[in-house]
Amino acid sequence: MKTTDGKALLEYASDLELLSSSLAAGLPLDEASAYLTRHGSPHHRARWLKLHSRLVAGLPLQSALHDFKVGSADAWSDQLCEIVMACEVYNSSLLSNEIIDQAAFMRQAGDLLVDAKRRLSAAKSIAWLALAAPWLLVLMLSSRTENRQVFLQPQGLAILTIGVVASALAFQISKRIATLPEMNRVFA
Amino acid sequence: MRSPRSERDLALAQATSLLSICLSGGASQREALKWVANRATGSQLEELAILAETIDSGVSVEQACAIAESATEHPRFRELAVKIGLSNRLGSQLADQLPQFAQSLRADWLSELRSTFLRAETRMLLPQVMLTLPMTILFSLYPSLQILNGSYI
Repeated sequence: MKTTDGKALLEYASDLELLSSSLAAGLPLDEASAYLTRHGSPHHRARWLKLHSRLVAGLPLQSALHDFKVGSADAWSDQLCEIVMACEVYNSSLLSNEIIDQAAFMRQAGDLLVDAKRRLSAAKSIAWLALAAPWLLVLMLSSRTENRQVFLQPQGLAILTIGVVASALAFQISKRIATLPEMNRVFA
Repeated sequence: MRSPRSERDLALAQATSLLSICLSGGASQREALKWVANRATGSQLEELAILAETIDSGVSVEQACAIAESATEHPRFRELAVKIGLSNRLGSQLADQLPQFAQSLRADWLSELRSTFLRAETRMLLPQVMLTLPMTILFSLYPSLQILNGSYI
């Protein structure tokens, strides 16, 4: 999962809420993950299935969580695994609470990302229109023979070439600005 | 789009949550700091690793926190070091304070992420104003100027 995918993040947050409820109800982690393979969001079922299969196969929790981390390869899963690991090592009763806190935070981040993506996509559409404007103008001006001849002269062609380069540059810059930053992994 | 500057704050929030879990499970501050620092792989928690190393070398937790506090330029890490140092000196419950601290760090990160997105939205107009607009003006004026000059014939 890309950490910038707001929708996937919201689904992941729902899964964590389910996981927290299952753990609070007294289910062990392997059964809670089995529950998620049936009732979790379709987008994330594979990862829960993988965790469940590792735990059922009798792998130590640390190895199962390591595989989960490697398979997921995102900062949110790293943090989840570390929470589970810390609770296991120090026998803390906070697991369910910490997971629900994590889910709430992911939900806030997910909402923010969905909103940002929507707004940036609108800005991108405007940028596309702005990029098309000079070329539509050239097209309209070229409907007159005199203008067309001017544009087909070497100087005119040079100006059109500069236009192509400027358009490509503007497109690349806009695309780069609109790319959402990925979250760095701290507990990879 | 650049990552928010508070990326380190988020890493610290994650570490703080883990510290809180370890402490609530009965680990000592020394043990908890060492465990969390050992788990971290990213460079964002370098200062925490140095703090854990200092403690591991035999310096008291309070002294190590004072050293970390004076050495760091990261205000939120300084806050954490002060919290740990004070709790160690006065015997207050650190595990109760850390979740709120983590929440405040996360709120900062979210707020900065929001402003990063808003900035990006405005910055997306920049290439249009600097490149596309002059190009449009050039395209519209060029044929007329050439025709006026009579140089197209």
